[in-house]
Amino acid sequence: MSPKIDIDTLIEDILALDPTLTDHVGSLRVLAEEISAKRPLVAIDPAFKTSLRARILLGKQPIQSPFGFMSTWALRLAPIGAVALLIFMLIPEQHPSVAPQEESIQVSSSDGWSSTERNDSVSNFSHGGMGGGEGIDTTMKMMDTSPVRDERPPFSIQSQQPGTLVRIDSVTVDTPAFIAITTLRPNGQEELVGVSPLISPGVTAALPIYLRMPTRTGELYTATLYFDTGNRVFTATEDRLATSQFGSPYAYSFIIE
Amino acid sequence: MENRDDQQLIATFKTGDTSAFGELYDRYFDKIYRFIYYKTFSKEVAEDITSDVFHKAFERINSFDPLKGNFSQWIYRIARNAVIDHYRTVKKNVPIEDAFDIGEEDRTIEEHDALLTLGKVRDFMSTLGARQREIITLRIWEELSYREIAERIGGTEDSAKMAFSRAMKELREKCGPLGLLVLTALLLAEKLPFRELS
Repeated sequence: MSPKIDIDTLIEDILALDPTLTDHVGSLRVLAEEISAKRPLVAIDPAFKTSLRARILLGKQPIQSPFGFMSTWALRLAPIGAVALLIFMLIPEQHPSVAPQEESIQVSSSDGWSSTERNDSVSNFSHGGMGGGEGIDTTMKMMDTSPVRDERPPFSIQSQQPGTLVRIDSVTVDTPAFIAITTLRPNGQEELVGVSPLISPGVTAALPIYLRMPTRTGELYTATLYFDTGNRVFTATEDRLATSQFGSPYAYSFIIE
Repeated sequence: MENRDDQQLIATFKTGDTSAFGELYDRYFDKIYRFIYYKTFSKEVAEDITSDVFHKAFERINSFDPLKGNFSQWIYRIARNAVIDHYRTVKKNVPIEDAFDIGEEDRTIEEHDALLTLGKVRDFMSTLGARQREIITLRIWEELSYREIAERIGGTEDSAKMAFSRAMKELREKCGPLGLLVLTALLLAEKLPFRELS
């Protein structure tokens, strides 16, 4: 491996500081050349770099929640909510319900994903309304949350294989809903990469969500449940984020294996 | 997005905008990873320690005090301490700052192989202190300017230049005439053209 750094400049700098080394220029040059030539090759794994970034930014939220509406105390009470959830899971199975406070308006047939393609404003998310100019401010909409009567998660998702398809194991809702799949861009903004078709009330098993770009091994994604406003079209700024009674959104991260 | 300096990003992060930390991450990840790799010579260890460094930086950034130094110095200090902590698990009572100080029996196969490829350079670098090795790797392997070195380790540009000069001088002295002779022979052999005999 040939030296990359300018050895002459190195030697000049050394001699400028210590002229007594003039007699040893040859040996210094040999040393510098050999050290430079033996520079180890450092290969950074891009998947590791990306997944670490996502884990840090998604896994740990600052005091001000990226969802905007959650107070510090709501975040701190989240573990209590998790315990309550476990207790409810031990209760004999009831028909789960995830009901919004408002009534659904109108239901008509439409493909949620194709609708979002027409709406440029859902091309990416913005955490808590802060961030770059393209982001969508979901803060105000996040305030209109819906309590749930049953604390069991309304949907479950396992780790996925790389590709353009994400499969939700099972989802149970009382009102039409969507599940949005997002990932973190390198600039830290969340990007919407896929939305489910409108989910009808009841239990839906093996729900496929087709993505507009393939997932990659090692990357982290998030699946988030939203209630439809009634227009059967997914719009991040209008559809209501589904949350538990403690205010925790029904959003689950999964990794591509 | 405009090019914001580290202090601006930290100020933005403290208002709750996590994307600002993402930008700091993008700015420093490669540098920190290389810094750690040059001390550990193990991809697995470098990834573990790098992960630890950025998690700690994220957790502690609200307590970062710009009056005590710049962000670069701060995160490099975290990285340096993380490397030392890693090797403390290997040798609890011996101060070890990088893989050069690790005994053969404690070295992983990956570390051993990586150090082996350094050849005589490994022997020469092992004669120096960790700080001097760091100065040399920052200047020669990472090709940083003296100003950049000063930003990382603290001090002035002139002090960084002086530290490098002294490290090279000491390295030359510790190699000795025989060591330098061997090194010269090796370099000449590498430079000789290969002639295929018909």
